[in-house]
Amino acid sequence: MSFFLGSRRRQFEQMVRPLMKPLYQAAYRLARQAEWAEDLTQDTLVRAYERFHLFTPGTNFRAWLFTILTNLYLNDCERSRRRPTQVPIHGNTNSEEAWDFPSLRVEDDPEAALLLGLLPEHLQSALDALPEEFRLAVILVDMEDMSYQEAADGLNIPVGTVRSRVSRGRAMLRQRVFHALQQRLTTTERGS
Amino acid sequence: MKTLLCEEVQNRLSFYVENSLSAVEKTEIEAHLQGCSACQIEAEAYQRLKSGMQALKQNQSFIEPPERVWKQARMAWNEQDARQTRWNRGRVAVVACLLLCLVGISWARRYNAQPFPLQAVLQDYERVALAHGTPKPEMETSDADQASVWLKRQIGGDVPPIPLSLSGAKLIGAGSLSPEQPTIGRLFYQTPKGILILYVAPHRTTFNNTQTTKLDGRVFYVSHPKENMTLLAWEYNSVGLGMMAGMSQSDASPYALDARRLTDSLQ
Repeated sequence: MSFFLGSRRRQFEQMVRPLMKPLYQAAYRLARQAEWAEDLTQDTLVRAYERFHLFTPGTNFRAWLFTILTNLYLNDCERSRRRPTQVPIHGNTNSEEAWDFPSLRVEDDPEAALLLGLLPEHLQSALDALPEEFRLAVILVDMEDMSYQEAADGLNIPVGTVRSRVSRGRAMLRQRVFHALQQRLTTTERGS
Repeated sequence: MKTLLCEEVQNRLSFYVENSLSAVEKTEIEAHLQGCSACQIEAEAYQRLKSGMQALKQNQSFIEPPERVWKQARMAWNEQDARQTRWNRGRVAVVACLLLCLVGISWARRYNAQPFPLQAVLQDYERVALAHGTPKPEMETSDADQASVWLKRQIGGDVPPIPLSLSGAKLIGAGSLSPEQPTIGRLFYQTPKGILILYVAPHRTTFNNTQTTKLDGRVFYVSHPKENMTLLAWEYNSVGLGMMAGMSQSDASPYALDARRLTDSLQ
């Protein structure tokens, strides 16, 4: 019996250890607070071990884990224990004042900075300022690389609703972040 | 191919950029993009947004979870394992107890033998067979199978069909011993030498203070409660069988042997 538990535990740890970092980062992106992200990560690990017998071998363990994380995050929000910080988007918003997520380090990646143009200053705060349901859908699909179905499972909503929220969330982001970029492209076209 | 309006295209551009549209939709959008610079700019914007999201993620990749999260999770898992082990042990103990009870009950049922009710059988035989002549069984039948099924239902034991046709006895019917002892069954036979009754006790049976005799190499318990009365008894599959006849042992023996051969062949 203890042998069985031991082998189950070893198998679980082997699967979950490499996902600790992405799991914590995802928790951080959802919660935007270090302490809450730690609690979410730990609760996810405990819940996942509790329900490991329900995981179907051969399916996507990462998506299964992230689904638990999303559920726990939504539970926390529903119980009003915690609320994600809402930041109104303004041109001069300093995202670091609004939440304790580390700022973008574009200096480490000059190529990305060049490609993104105006993005680094605005993308985080634009994402942060999205209504919560759109923010969650966009984060899960575009940053955590979950499929629409996996995101739907995590959010407990139909997959069509996820697609709609992702589409509208991206449109809002695009409208807010790329307004200046669009102007620049138009100017360039006229110049040429 | 359907011609799309700019609004229709722009609603689907983010899906086009992530390549999650069907082949038909993709072709329609590409056809539109070839002739529409405004939508091209939109598509470019979505492409950059997609890259930007990935870059944002990449920029956050230096964030490491504190080691205490893993340590605390492992402590929680240890507690879960301990709880599970206790729960499993409890379940095993409960199952073991249930099994022991079942084994005990079946053992008791199998090996807790009860004495053959010799006195009751004698009184019954005298009352039925001697006092009233031809008996009137509760279930009148000459069919041994039918009598066996009826008796099984009445007394709950394994009663084989015993026709006794070889020894020339004729089955009259079946019944239970008395309202006071409803679990002892009776099979009535008419023979040229009188009535004989085969009493069936549906449990292991002891024949205390009863002698034994061998007939055709088979051991029988034998008793003569009165002059010219013979009881020949034996066991079959934890069922006690006692044949009472108002005749001498030598006259009763062929009938008992006939029944015994039949029950032995069924074991």
